[in-house]
Amino acid sequence: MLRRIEKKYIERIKNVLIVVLFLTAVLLLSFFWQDAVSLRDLTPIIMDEENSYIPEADDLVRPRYILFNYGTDIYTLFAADEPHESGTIYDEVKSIAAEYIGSAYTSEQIEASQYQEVMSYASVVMRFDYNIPLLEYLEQNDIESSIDLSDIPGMTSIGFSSASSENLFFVNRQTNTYYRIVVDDEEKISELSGRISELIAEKESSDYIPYYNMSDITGVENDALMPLYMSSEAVSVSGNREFSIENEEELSRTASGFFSSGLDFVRKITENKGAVLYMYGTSQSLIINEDGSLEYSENVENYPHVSSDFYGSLDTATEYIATHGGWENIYGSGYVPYLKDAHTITNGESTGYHFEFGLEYDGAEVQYTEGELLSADVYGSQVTSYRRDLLILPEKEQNEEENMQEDEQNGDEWYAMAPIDVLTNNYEKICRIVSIGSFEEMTADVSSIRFCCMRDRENDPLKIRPAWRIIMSDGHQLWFDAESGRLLHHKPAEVN
Amino acid sequence: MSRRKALIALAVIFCLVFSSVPAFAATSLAKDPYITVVSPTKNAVMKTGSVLVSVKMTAPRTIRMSFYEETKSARRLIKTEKFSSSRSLSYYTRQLTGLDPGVYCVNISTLNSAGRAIYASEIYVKVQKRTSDSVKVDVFNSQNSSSSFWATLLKKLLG
Repeated sequence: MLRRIEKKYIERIKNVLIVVLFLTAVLLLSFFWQDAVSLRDLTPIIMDEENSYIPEADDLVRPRYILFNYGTDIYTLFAADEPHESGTIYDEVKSIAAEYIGSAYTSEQIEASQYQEVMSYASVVMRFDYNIPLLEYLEQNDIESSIDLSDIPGMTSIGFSSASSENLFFVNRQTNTYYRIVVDDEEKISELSGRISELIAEKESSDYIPYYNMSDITGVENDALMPLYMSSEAVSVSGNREFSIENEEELSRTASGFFSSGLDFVRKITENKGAVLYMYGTSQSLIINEDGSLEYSENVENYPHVSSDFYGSLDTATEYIATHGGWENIYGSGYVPYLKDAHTITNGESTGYHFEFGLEYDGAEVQYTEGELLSADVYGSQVTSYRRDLLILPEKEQNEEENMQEDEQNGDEWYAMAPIDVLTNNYEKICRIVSIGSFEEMTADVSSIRFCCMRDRENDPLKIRPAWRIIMSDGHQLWFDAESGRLLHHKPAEVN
Repeated sequence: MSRRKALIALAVIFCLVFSSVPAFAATSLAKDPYITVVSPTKNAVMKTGSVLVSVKMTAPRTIRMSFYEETKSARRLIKTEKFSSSRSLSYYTRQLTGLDPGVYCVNISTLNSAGRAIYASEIYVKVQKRTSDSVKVDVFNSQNSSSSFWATLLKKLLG
């Protein structure tokens, strides 16, 4: 009897145990499923890879500006995307250049003085901020050459002049070399001459901002170009940091995209100054800073003699950016990205490219007082360094855009303080900063004066504002509020 | 014969002296020592229909810029405006566009507190019809260029 009762209890205990085990199994499985869901959440960067927008190389590789010299000491700068007929002004200038290249008879290196003399007449120059391998540029733009142009390795400018319409000119500012390619077909020369004259006359009769040599405005010898005035639609805008180190989940999500094996074997260190450092051995490291910027680097893999072409490397960089932060935040903020700098880099026997991207906002170049906005080092198919420091701006809503269109129609642009007034109002301060004695000496020492949207990384990092940026011949940079002309920031030349 | 030469020489001197008379005759006021007309320069020739006026002021001043078209019979006012600055250094700048070929005069007058001109400067400029389309320069036929061409050709031939 006692044994039967005992057996009964044992059976009950067994049943309870089975139920407990079942419930435990369900609980564990639910944890597992939950983990699986979070794992999916952790990899959106990789998941979005295929759907992420990647800009075309041609959208990024475009001239910083197209300089029109009207031949009488009056100049103007047009943005590459300035509308012209059914396309852009860049399309038109490129099309004229393609006609020259397709009909070329010969090419030769010329003297700087010859180039300068010819271009002092009515002429057009499209100027890039970096050196582009010429043959790659031609291939990328489907431009066929009638002659071998391998003697011209790279170029930073392409130009033509109405006073010498049988020639197309290439300049390489890095090597200070000048080339011309010559067309000898009289009919073609006449046709090209007509197109050039027509283009210049059309732009001259349009509404443009006149630029003069500084000497014509100030009376002080200086051939740097200065606008007489500046109208703009750019306004001050406040934004947010792109990455936050306070949100653990977001931080892990961002970091996991950089380490292919996930974060299991990655050391995470929170630094006293607020940055979070992720390290995978000594080969990969990622720093996400408190200010919302990130810096990633990894060792160059030991491929023997890796060397890359310009456009192939650029594609690698743009694809990498698409999967590591993406381009959406950039376009979504109203920025227009472009390639700002490109130069070759070496590591041992490997050669790669350093690419730096710039942004335009409301037609003005975004300039940081410190650091790069977006850059990548590329060796072959490997990105070894990546920096990203963006201010995310509020999306322009439909209504706002409509209002802006109305404003445009009403001609509601504002005028910045004229650059000559910025100089005269501030010359005593500038003279003190750059240790120069007089207004005349200071004016002679200005190498560039440009309108931009400035981000003061030190004093006001969550805002971009319209500003004048003046660069002195020793590299000293000064920023002034575009409306009031007040000095906002200055920094001495960077010493490499 | 020598009399004829003397007459021609006299005529030339007469022309030289009196051709510049309008520039002085148009204003009897002295130049302001604190005002410098940077642009346009005296007797400049403009090849497009625009003129840049840039005036440097090295003392607080009120100035009036007047821009006239000069014809044989009269002077026609095209634009006039006042500009005041209380700073010890400032510039007045203006671009005048859409000008027809002809002779123009820029008058910069310094005004006193009653608005009367006390100093004045005048600069004459000539606006020409645009001819740059037909301007051709040939800087590549120099010795330097041809040697460069042959050097390039030789380099190509010899690899």
